[in-house]
This record gives sequence, C-alpha cells and structure tokens, in this order.
Amino acid sequence: MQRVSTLMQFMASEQSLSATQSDMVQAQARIASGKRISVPSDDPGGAGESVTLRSNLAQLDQYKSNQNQAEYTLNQSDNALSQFGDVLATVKQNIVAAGNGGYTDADRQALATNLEGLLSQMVGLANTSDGAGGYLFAGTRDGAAPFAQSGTTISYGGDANTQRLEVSDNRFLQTKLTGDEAFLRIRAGNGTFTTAAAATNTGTGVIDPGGVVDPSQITGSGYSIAYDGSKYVVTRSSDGTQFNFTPGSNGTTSLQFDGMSIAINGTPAAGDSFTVQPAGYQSIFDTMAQAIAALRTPTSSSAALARVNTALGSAQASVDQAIAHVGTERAQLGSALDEVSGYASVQASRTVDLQTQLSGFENADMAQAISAMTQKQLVYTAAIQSYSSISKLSLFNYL
Amino acid sequence: MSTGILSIANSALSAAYTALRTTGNNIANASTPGYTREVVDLVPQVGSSSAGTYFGEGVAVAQVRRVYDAFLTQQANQATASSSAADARSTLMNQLQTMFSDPTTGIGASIDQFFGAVQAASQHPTDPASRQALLSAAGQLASRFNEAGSRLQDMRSSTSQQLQQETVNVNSAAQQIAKLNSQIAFALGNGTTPNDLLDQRDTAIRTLNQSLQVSAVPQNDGSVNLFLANGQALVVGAAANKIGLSTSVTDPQQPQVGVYVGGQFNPVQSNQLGGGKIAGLIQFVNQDVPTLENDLGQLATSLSAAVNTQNQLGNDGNGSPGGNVFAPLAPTAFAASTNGNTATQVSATFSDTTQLQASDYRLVYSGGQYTLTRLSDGKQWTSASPSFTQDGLSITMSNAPPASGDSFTIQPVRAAARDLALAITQPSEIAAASPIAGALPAANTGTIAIDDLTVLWPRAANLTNATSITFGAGNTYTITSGAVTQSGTYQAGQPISFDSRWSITMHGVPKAGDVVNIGANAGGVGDNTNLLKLAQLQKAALVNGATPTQAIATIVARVGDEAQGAQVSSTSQQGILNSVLTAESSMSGVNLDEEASRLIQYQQQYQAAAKLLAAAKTMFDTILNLP
Repeated sequence: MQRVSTLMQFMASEQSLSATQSDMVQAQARIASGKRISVPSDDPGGAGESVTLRSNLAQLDQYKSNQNQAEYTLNQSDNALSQFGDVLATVKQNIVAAGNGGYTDADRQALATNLEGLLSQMVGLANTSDGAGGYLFAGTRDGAAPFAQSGTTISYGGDANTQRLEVSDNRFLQTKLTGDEAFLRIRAGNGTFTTAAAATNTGTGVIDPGGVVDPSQITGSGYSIAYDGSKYVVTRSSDGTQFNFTPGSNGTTSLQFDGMSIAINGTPAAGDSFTVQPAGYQSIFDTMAQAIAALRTPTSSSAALARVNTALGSAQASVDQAIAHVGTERAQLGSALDEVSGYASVQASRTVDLQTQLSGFENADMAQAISAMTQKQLVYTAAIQSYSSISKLSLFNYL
Repeated sequence: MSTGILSIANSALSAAYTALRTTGNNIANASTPGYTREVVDLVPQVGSSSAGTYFGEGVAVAQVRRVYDAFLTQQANQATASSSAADARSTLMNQLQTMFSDPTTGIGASIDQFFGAVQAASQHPTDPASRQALLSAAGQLASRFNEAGSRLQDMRSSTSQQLQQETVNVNSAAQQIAKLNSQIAFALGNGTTPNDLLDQRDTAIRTLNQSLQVSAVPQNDGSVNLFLANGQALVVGAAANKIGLSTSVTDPQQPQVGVYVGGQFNPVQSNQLGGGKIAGLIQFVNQDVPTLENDLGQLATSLSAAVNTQNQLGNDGNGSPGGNVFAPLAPTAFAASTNGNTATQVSATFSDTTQLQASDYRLVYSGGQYTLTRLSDGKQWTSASPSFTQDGLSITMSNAPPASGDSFTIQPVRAAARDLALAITQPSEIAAASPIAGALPAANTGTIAIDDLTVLWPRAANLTNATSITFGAGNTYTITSGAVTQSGTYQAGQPISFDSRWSITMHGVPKAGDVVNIGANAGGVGDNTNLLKLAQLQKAALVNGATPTQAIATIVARVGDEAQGAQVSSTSQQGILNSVLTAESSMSGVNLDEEASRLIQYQQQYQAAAKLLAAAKTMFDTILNLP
C-alpha cells in the first residue's frame, strides 16, 4: 500500500494535465501547418532525406532549364540550316543552267550575279544570331559575327569549340554547330577526290568530277592524266605506276583505275593534262567563289569554255556535297533534339517520384494527424474530468 | 492518589495539545514544498510501583519527529540534478535545431541555388545578368553560413550568461546552507531538534542540486557537508566555498566551472560535473556548439576552397586568370595560456581541403616527443619533430622546442562559417571560360576528337603555350611543346596529362599524322567550359568523401538526432524524478485526509483528558468539602 501525500497528488495531476494538453496542442499544430517535420528532431532521418531530395529536385530543375535552352538553340540552328539548304538548291539550279551549251558570256555573267546574291544570303544565314547576343555558328568566339565577306572572299572568325550544356546528369550536349563544322569542313569534289584541268590546255576536253566504283581500291594518292594525242596516260603520283587508256569514240572517254571512274568529254589536244587529287575540305563559300569566278570568265576560245565547264562541273559536285553535308548536320541536330526530349520525359517522371517521396517525409498524413489529435483530445478531456471529480474528495467535507 | 490523576490528566492534556499543534502545523504546511511532515512520538511515562502494584504515570511526548528518509532524499536530489541537466540541454538543443527547421531557406537550399545559378550562367556566359545572379547566389551562400555561425556564437554567449546566473544561485544557496549548518548545530547542541531549519536546509540543498549536483554528507554535529560530483568540497560545516566561471587554458572560448579554495581556482572537468543545470549548459556550450561549428566550418571551408580553385583554373570575363570567389579561410592556432615557453608558436595551413575533418586538434610536447591529437575521436600521431601533415592540414612550429608539457590548440574550421565572405565584387570576375582550347586541323584523316580538356591545379605559368599532339603508327602519340616532349600510347577515353599543365581525354580512331593542337583559347568569350566544371563540384566528394549536399543533410540529421536524444533523455529523467519525488513525498508529504482523522483522534483525546481533569477536580472538591 502506497501512501500518497496531498501535495504530490495535486502536483501529479497538474503535470499530467499539462503534458496531455501540450500533446494535444502539438497535434493540433501539426494539422494546422500540414507539416510532419517542423523541427529535425521530429524525424532526424527524414529531415536529412528531405535535404537530399530537395537538392535532387533542384538539380533536375537545372537540367530541365538547360534542356529547354538546348532545344531552343538546336531548333534555331536547324531552321537556319534548312533555309541554307534551300539557298543551296537554288545555287545548284543556277550552276546546272550554266551548263547549257547555248549560253553566252553575258548569260553566264547574269548567273554569276545571281550567285553573288545567293552568296550574300548564305553569309547572312551563317551569321544568324542566337537570340541572346551571340551567334549560332561562331563556336565560342561569339562576340562578333563569325563570317566576314569581302567580295566573294568569306573568312571565318569563329573557332572550333562550342558551348555545351549539361542536359542530364554528366551528359554535356553540344548545342550549337561551329561554323567550321557546318560550312567549312565539306569534302570537295565528289567527296573522295577532285578533278581539274590544266590551265594551259588547248583542247576542249572537259573532265567530269568522277565517281567511286570500288571504295576498297581507293589509294588516296594523287594522279596526273596526260593526253599525248593517242592515248591517256594516268600516272599514280605515289609510286609512278601508269595506266594507259585509249580514247573512247563519240567524244567520251571513260577512265577506270584504282576504284575510280572518270570521264573526259570533248576533244583534248595533245599535251593537255588533267589532275586528280584526294578530296580535302573546301568551304561552301570557297565553292561559291570558284563557281562565280568561273562564270565571270570570258570564253574567247573553245578551250576556255572547256575550262569553265570543268570548273562548273567541279563546283556542282562540291555543291552536291554541301547539300548532303547540310542534310547530315541537320540529322545530327535532329538526333540531339531527340536525345534532349528523351531526357525531358524520363526526368518528368523522376521529378514526380522525388516529389512524392519528399511529400511523404515532409507532409503530415492528414487522416492520421486528425485521428491522433482526436485521441489526444479524448485523453485530455478524460484527464480534466477525472481531476475535477477526484479533487473534490476530502475528509474535511464530511467533518 | 488524586495528584497522581492530576498529573496523569495534565500529561494527557499536554500530549494531546502537542499532537494537535503538530497536526495543525502539518495541515498548515500541507502545500509547502520541501516540508517534511511531523508526527508526535508518544511514550508512556515511566511508571512507579507501590505496594507491589505497578502504576502508569501518564503519557509523555518523546519527540516531534520529522518523517524523513535520508536515502530517499539523496535519491531525489540526484534525480533533480540529472533532470535539470537533461532539461537544460534539451531546451538549448531545441533552440539550436530551429536553424534547420525550414528546408526551403537553409544552407542546403542556398547550396542548391548557388549551383543552379552556375548552370543558368552556363547557358549565357557573357550575359551580365546571369553573371550577376551567380554573384548574388554566392553572396547568399556566404550569408547563410554567416547567419548560422553568428547564431551559434549568440547561443554560446547567452549560455555563458545563464552559467553566470547559475553560479550566483549556487553560491547564494551554499552560503545559506553554511549558515543553516551553524544554526542547526547550535540548536542540536542545546538538545532541540530544529525541524523547520532542517526543512529549510533540505530545500536549499534541493535547489542547489537544480543548479549543480552536490552530494550531502551528514556530520556528527548535525551539519551537512556538500561535495561536488568530482569530490571537491563546496560547504564544510559553517564555511562555504565559492564556485566561479573561468575559461579553459587551452581554449579561451570554452567556459569552465571551478571552486575557489583559499583564493585558488580549481577547475572541474566538464565531464565530472555530474548533473544540474550547470552541467547541461556546459555540455551544450563545450560540446554541442563546437561540434556544430566544426561541422558547418568543414563544409564552408571545403566548398569555398573548391570553388576558388575552379575559378582560378578558368579565365574571367576580361580574359584574365580567375581569382578567389570567396576570401580564403585559414586555420587558427594558439598556445595554452599556461605554456612555459611563450615564444613558441604554432601555425597551420590547409594542404588538401577535401580531407579536412570536423574537429579541433591539440599538439602537446612532452619528453622530447610531439603528440598531435584529433579531439573528435582521440586519434593520435607522434613525431620527434614539430611538423605534421594530416587530415588535410599542414602544421608547423616556430621557436621550437617549447617547454615540456606545453600544449597548443589548432582549430582548422571552427570559425569558418562565421568568416566565410565573398572576395569578388564584379560579375566579370567569374571565370566562365577555359584558358585553353583544342583544335583539330582540317588535314586530319582519322576520327580523333576531344572529349574533355581539363586545366590542372596549380595553374602552370606555361599553360597556354602552344602544344601539339602528333599521332604515329599503332595509336602512339608524341606531345611537343617547345623543348618539352612526352610520348605514349593512345587509348580512347583515357585521360592523358601533360607536364602538370592540362589533361586531355579523346575518343575516336586517329590515323598516323593526325594532329591535335592545344593552345590559348583566344577570343573564346562564349566558352562556358569552366562554368560546367564549376557545376560539377555539386556532385564531387569535396567534404571528406561527401558531396556538399550529403554533408549538410548529414548535419541536419545529426542535429535532429541529438535534439531528439536530448528530448528523450529529458523526458525519461523527468519520469525518474517524478517517481522518486513521489516516493519521497509518500514518506514525508502531508496527506490532508490523514491529518483530518488525526485531528479527530487527538481532539477526542484532549476532550477525554479534560474530562479526566474535571473528574480529578471533582474528587478533590469532594475531599475539600468534607466537614
């Protein structure tokens, strides 16, 4: 049997009333704030997780912003290249037209003027701004327009580096093409080799750009083709090997060697020569300059006309290369865009996941909080009622 | 005969009266805290024998006894001390943890915002608005750390003030107890038991235990000697020693409690205080606060150092090498105030901030050996020479050797959170671009391409010297820069470092004769390479193996854990205290119902004794009225 002192009785009741009341008030505060964790001690592990989850969500936001910017820039570049491709198509039309046998010098001059206009358009497109004070095709030197035009000479002032953005964890995506990539690094001629006629030729032989019939036999060497009046002698520069070909009938000779096939049309004179070189890079602007120069050349003789036609043929092949190149670059942009939208959708669902997790830690489960509060209210009410009935009991009431 | 009855009646009356008085006293003091109920011990008077018959001589009051159990009282004192300590620490820990209660405005959020601003600036590196936003975010980051650091400093000083107040309380209680000791000894010497003085003394000891744990040892003369938990005497008889606050000789920011004995200050070790509010406050200010200061300081130091390094590896908006973004932080080191050789000084610098620990260090010289102790976990290193490179710190001594026994404290990161500040003021000072760039000549026939070009730390003076990597047959390469050459075999994706200047990673298949040129990034104002590297710091193990976010998340969880632990401890100590107090009160407390029934009992006895007196008087009158 435990003796209970009066003082202790009242103090104990007082303490337990105060404790149940404080419990009830805390439960109510939790409902009012909607927060499960109002101080870290409410759930230390959860509080730590919450910091981490918030940081992950913030990173995903950053990536999303980068993705949007990347999309914008990639689309802009694609637009510019699409327009550039349209201009190239018109350029090709003009060059093809120039091959018309009935054209005079004056006709070709007119075409040259057309091409000059188109060239200016191309430079304008190559200098497209990126909408934020920089340029789409300048690499990282985007303080000024990358392409400068002086007559038909276009020079590139940008560089070969480019801005990248982190569009997903550790994925640094190139968002722009450099001017280099887009317009300068285009393989000349037919993409594998170029052909040219010597300036001293006196015949009317026109060498065509040629084609590759068997890539496995391409040697990468240069060649010289000499016509000695009765046959064509092809000399491979790397080792001096020679091939002989007899001219074909009806004004066309087809030369096939080392996996290449080249046609010489017209009638070369004895002593005329032609060269074949492995294709280096040639900017589209240089191609345009060549084409314009050829068109502006007066053709006083049939030999001169032949040289002009050779040059135009070469230019046309290079323009074809450029058109294909623009297509390839646009495909690269397109796949980058696909990649970005892939990240965007994966990320969207990951964001939702993280937010759900975060909410699980931070936000109070309303149903549980309300029932906890109701229970504490009940306990408090019982405590108050029992206190009032017990406190009335005293022997002094009955004496 | 009748005189016998008279004296018996008298004794009954006076006994009943004393009992009633005592009961009345109990009733009056039923609610007085610290009051010990009194009971009257009644014993029969020594009887007398007459003609072979033994006659009782009435009742005597042996004593008015305090119903007191020394053991229960001692238990209650101890429980009071423990509960006060736990409660004081829990209150302070709850205040401490509020600085982490809003995850949207805390340090974690400002770290996220800083790196978000870096990413945003990487989209438009030349845009002044983006750079300004990054500058502001860096400033915000420093501010948040500063706020946390000053909050901790404020709590330290307010806790010190509370400690002062508590020592005053202890001293005045000790004085009071000493005075009571002499009064009680005097009264007991005179043969009386001064119950109310004893109660007063017990109350004073209980109050004292709330401030500081003491154990009471009763002496033969009735006085009680008080001893602190480490055995030092506080009250001896009628003399009381004073306690006071001083600062630790090894760390001027650490308060120390001690006893003044004969004018000399004898400090008490923090872990030997036992209980009492003072113990709780000391634990908070000497353990919880410095631990958090070190945790935050470790994060601030390693993060700011990494950002500074990366900014210096890049070129700013004016094309010059970047500088420090944050003012560089440095460790503090100082000698103990009791050192014999005052000319010896210790200094420390950071050798690798990624290995910093959240701890203070002590360097002690004794017996020709230098011992460096990491205070957080006690790990030690010894050396015969006073220089150490450990945990990312480089420690040296000037004017060595010190006197034997001298000690020095090194605090690498304690003040970092308070001291973190921006060093840059202009948006252009942010180094967005890389100082070098790679270029692939058009003549290359292979598919070699550059994945990554990283500037190495420290930034070499000849970093931007033109260099070329030329590939030979079978994937071999030779790097040439002036007279410096290096050769190797290329492997896609493997970094190649050159002359401590830079490191390059490439992919693709090179053909013999292909060249990669590395040189100054001239004119590349739109380059954002350095910002991309800055952004990667968010995921790097900068803080002793953890990323900055992991570090702050761990801090938040740890503080929450400590606060929760303090709450639980406080609640359980309170529970123990309640049950001990209940037991004490059950023995010594007044129960009004009990006193009410005693009242009736002694009232009846008094009435009966009065009736006895009346009967004796009647008998006497009868005899007197005989003719």
